[in-house]
Amino acid sequence: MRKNALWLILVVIAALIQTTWLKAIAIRGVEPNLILVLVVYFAIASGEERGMFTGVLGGAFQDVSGASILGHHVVCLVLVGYGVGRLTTRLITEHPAVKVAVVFTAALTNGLLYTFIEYVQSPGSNPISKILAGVIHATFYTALLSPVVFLLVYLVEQRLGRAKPKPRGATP
Amino acid sequence: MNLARHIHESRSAVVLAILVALSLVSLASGKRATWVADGLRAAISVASYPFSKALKTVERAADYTTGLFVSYNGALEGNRALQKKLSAAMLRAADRAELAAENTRLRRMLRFERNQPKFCFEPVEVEVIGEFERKLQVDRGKKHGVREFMCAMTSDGVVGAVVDVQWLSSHVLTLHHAQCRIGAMIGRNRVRGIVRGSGSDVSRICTMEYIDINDDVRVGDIVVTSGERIFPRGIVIGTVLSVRSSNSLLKEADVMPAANPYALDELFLVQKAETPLDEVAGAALSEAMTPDSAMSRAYPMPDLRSVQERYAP
Repeated sequence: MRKNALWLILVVIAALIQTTWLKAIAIRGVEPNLILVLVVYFAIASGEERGMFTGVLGGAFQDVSGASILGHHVVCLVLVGYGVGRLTTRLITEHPAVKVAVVFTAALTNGLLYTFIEYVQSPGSNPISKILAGVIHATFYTALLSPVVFLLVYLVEQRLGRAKPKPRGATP
Repeated sequence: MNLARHIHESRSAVVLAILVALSLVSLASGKRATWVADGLRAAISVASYPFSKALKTVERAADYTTGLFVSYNGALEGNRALQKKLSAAMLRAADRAELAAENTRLRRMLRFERNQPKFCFEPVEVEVIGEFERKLQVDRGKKHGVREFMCAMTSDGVVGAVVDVQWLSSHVLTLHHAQCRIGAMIGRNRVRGIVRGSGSDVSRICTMEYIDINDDVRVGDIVVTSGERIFPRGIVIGTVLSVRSSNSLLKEADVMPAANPYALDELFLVQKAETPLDEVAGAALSEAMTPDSAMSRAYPMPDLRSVQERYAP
């Protein structure tokens, strides 16, 4: 119960930070995706279900805060959370670079999915330029930020949640 | 039973399917304003308010902190720029004041030149460009028609005489120079003498010499040029400060010059002076007397008599 409450608080805070404060560290309009990092973190640490629900909550925040239709971010993050959760069951290393690579792959996948859905909704847009101009940059930025976020969330969980890493997943 | 077990074993996939299906339904509907979205938006708006306020507060604090340095540097640069502008403005104001003073002096000289019916002279306006040992260097020379022994004067009175003329400049021997001698007379009663410079930097008071011991000279009398040599008649030299008798037939008077040669910027060099006849005798006297009886008390000009002749009892 305590762990679930902490998870909820963490995701909500991350979503609020994503929709408010992250503009302050945007570089040329490119912001890191903090919610995506949390989705990957919880997918690695707690399994794909926790990753998917993180994606639901965070994605809903992003959809509602932005101009997207409800479900746009959600479906992307849910799919990423599921994929990362399934993938990490096969990871046998906890090297930080691997986690960064996982985050990079997840961010790229999330960006591609988001752009694809956006293109389906409005075919007049140019998805290639959007990917080149925004998705790639945001992917790198998110990957670079992920070790810091992983460390912070891990420390918070250790201090407040007294959580022990699940034996099935790699401990971030 | 098998289905339930199968679902339980594939729980994550089922959850994924449900969530994706719900999201796709929402996306397919294409509605941005649903009751779910509106509720979430309201909740997020309330929840994000403290974050937004905190962010704004942090931004303001950061702006204030950086402003302490940025504004200080800006204020410092602004202060320097204003100081430069102030200096330039002060220079312009000083120039303007100098121009105004020069304008006033030139106007006074012009007025003096125009309002001198008793003189007919062709003045050359010159500018003092230097001063050395009681001599003034002026910016006019032979090229401009300046000759030696021209009278240097201002509207206040006599300044001195030209003694050294170069091609483009000249030197004026001032009243205070020891070698300066000017034929003078008391304006009130035409008593004559010679004004000599003291030659001292300490005292700029001149001496009027060769005054007959019987002549009436009083403190406060105006001393003017007698027009005997190079100076036009009647130009003010100064005022008698004191009269002292020597152990001879002559007495002397201390004269305070009217013009201060060392506080001049411009002066006149009189090229040609013609003294009207009535000035020789005095205008008031010549008007009062008939032509036959218009005898001037002044000595005939030039007074070529020897000192013995002039002062013999």
